[in-house]
This record gives sequence, C-alpha cells and structure tokens, in this order.
Amino acid sequence: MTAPVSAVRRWIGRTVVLAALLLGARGAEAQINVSGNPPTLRIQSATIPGGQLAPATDNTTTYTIFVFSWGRGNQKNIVAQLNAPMPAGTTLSVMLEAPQTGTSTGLVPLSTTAQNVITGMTIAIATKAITYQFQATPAAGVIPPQSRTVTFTVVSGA
Amino acid sequence: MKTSHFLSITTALSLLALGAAGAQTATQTVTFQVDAVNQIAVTGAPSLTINTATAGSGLTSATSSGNTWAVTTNQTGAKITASIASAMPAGLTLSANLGAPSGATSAGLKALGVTAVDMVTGITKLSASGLSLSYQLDANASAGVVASGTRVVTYTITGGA
Repeated sequence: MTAPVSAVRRWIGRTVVLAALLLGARGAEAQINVSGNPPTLRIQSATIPGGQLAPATDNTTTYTIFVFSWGRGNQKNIVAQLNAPMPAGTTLSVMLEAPQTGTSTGLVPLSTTAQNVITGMTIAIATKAITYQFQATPAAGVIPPQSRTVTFTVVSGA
Repeated sequence: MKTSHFLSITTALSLLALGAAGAQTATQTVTFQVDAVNQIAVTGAPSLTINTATAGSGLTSATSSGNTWAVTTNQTGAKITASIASAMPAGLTLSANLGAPSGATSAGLKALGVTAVDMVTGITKLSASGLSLSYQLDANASAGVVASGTRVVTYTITGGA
C-alpha cells in the first residue's frame, strides 16, 4: 500500500518549510531587512497661509521581518533611532505597519535614543510598509538637503 | 495542489535566504530639506461709500475694518507690499493699513497706487493669522459724484534671507 501522491507532496512541502524555519532560526531568531532608502522628504509650502508648514511624508519603502520566538517573555520588539539629532525646529517621525504578531506604536518622533516602533512580536514573517513624516516649524528656517541614518533593531521585549 | 506546493517551496527558499543574508539590524538613509516658504492670504470684501461731510470741512472718509490677513514665512526679513491694478479716479484715495505680526513693523495707513508700496516689513520666521486689515477711502469735493467702482488690491510677500 502506497500513500497517495498528493499526501506525499503535502508531507514534502511541510518538511521543507519546517527545515527552512529551523535553519533560518539557527543563526538568529529574528532578522530584519529594508527595501532601500526613501526619496527626499521636502517641505515646500504651508498648510494654509498663517498656518504651520505642511509636513512631507513618504511610504514607498518596506521592511521585511522574520521573527521566530516563542515562550513566555520571549517577545521581540523593533526599535528605531537616529545617528545624529535633527536640526532645531524639525522632527522626523517613523511608523512601521505591524506584522501578523506585534503592535505598531504609531508615528514615533525619532531621536538618538532607541524607541519602540513595533512591540510584542512572536512568530512573524512579513513585508510591511514604513512611513516617514518630516515636520518643521517656520522658526527652523530654510534647510538645505541633509541626511540622517535611521537604524532599526530587533530586540528582546519586556 | 501544485500551487500550494509551489508556495511552500517559495516560502522555504525565502526563509533560507533570510537566514543566510538577514540581520537583527537594518538601516535607511533619510534625506530631508525645507524650501523657502512665503505665503499670504486675506479675508474680507470691503465696501466703502462716502456719503456725508461736516459742513465747512471736507467729505467724511469711509472706513472698513474687520478684514484680516495671515502670513507664513520661514525666512528672515520678509515684507508685504500692496498695489492696485489701475489708478483711482481723480480726487479719490484708497488706503490700507495692515497690522504687524510679532517682531515686524507696519507702515501704517498707506495710499495705494499702481506702484507697490511696503505695508509690513521685517517679518521673520513665523506663522500668524487674524491680523488686522483696514481700508479707508478719502475724497475731496472736486472729485464730484463718482459712480460705484472696484479695485483689486494685490498683496505680495517677498522673502528675505
């Protein structure tokens, strides 16, 4: 008596997936990659005359997260931080769309101190959107193009 | 079935790729800039009619208050000028007075002509709204009776440094 071909295929498929999970988790149980850099965030106008400057936003980039963490107290977070402070009167914020497990903390103003952008991940394999928002007050003045490095790190949660 | 089998293998290969090339840290370079922003707006549709005088004196001026203007600039030393598209009839003068936002200077009541005149100077890196804007129409007796007319007043903000 031999097993039906479809059952064999299902068994092979599941085995390959399980093997991949185990192999993927072997080096590190959480990994993150980003799709590239966003275009320049450029403020060019006010929301209305007499109002504040209109923020510049971008959501064209994504991050891919692989988390394979289970057990009590083993949840993972993603934190984000800048390599240098923003110019006076400006704010760069980021929001990561949440994967299957985990919660987005919404739009978070970035600084040189790491801050949670996703919390409570357990098992997650997903590619999700990154949204940036750049704000400036009139007092910030005219600012020529400059850059900051945003570092996303997967860390153990509380 | 073939589709699910294909997806399983694709997922597995993706995970293997992640395992091979992924990291617990990822970085993005974010570039930003702020251009010069100078914007102005006005509210109100003033109407001015001269219809009385003090006996022995000139005609009584007509005024319109309650109009407002607003400004946003991220530059230093911006200024507001005003002009009208065509000259006023002989003997009539239309003037405007813009209240200054914090730190700036109003020129006070200024007669308007086809040549732009400075109304507010020294506007620096601010946003302000609800600023006062008033108009005054003056006429001398020699102007005679003038039929209703309109003038478009154009306010222009010029950025500083």
